[in-house]
Amino acid sequence: MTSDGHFPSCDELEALSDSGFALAIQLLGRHEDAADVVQDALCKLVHSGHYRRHKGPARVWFLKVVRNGALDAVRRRRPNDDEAVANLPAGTKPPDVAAELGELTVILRCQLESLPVAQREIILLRDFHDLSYGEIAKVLGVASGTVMSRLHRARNALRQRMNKYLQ
Amino acid sequence: MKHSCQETESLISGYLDRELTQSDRQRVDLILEDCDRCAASLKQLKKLRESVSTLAFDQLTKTEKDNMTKKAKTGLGANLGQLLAIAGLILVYGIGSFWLSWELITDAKFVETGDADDKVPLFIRFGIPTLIGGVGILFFTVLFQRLKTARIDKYRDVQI
Repeated sequence: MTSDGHFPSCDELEALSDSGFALAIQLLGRHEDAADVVQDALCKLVHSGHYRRHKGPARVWFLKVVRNGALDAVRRRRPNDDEAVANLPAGTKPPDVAAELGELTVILRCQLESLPVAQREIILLRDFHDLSYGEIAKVLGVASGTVMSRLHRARNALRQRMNKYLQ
Repeated sequence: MKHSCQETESLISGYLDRELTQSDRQRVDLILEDCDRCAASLKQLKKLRESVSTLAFDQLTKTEKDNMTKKAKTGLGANLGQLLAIAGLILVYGIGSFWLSWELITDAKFVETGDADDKVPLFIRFGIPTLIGGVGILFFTVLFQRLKTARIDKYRDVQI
């Protein structure tokens, strides 16, 4: 149930699923794991009552639940499994090979994946999910004043990795 | 305009995202007019941001989304069912036990018929209501304790 007292419609649930799945796949890299996280988040949204205590857009709350679920999933993974999961989905190429093919998007994805999760998520929340700094602060559970500096450090880290490809 | 590129650097992300205060924004505007290095930095970050915003990731299929929605709503039905069952149990136990206790304590049937066969032994007349009362008090004490804990538990939001 949402804060305005109605159960989310199927369309609303689907839109939230899409948004949540995009974040989960970006953090987890594996379709099944991301789908599980989104399923849990949907169940919490529909009948846990947690959302009713939250003020603000459902999407921000949902992304927060998905993000926390994804981090839990990452923590549960065995070390030998982690390496495989950290890689990009099948079919993507290592940066050098991709560079030879001139695929900036592939390189960017590789470099993004190689960033620590904390840096990757803040870049994606801002640039891919288009959240404001205030919304990002809610999703990450940090003070809104820290978002700008943290985001800047993350973008700088990505820029340094992408430097030779951005020339 | 005199400035430190390193200090300005930290404002450029905020400038790019239109999250600076008006005065900071005006300051950065002036710096960007004068400083090629800061302007190049902004251009590079802008390009990076645009590239990230157009990245394509794996998506859920329509069937997966339908199944997820269905599963979430089925869970809602199960929860509702559980809630109704508990409410029903409390009503039946509450009203039923009160009625039974009253009947036993007042020995209503014996009073009505006057038949010695209808007389209920004393230990049953008072034993069963005591038992029902005890179980009831125990149930509600535990229930209230749980509710109180759930309300004041400072870690209740941690799970989300």
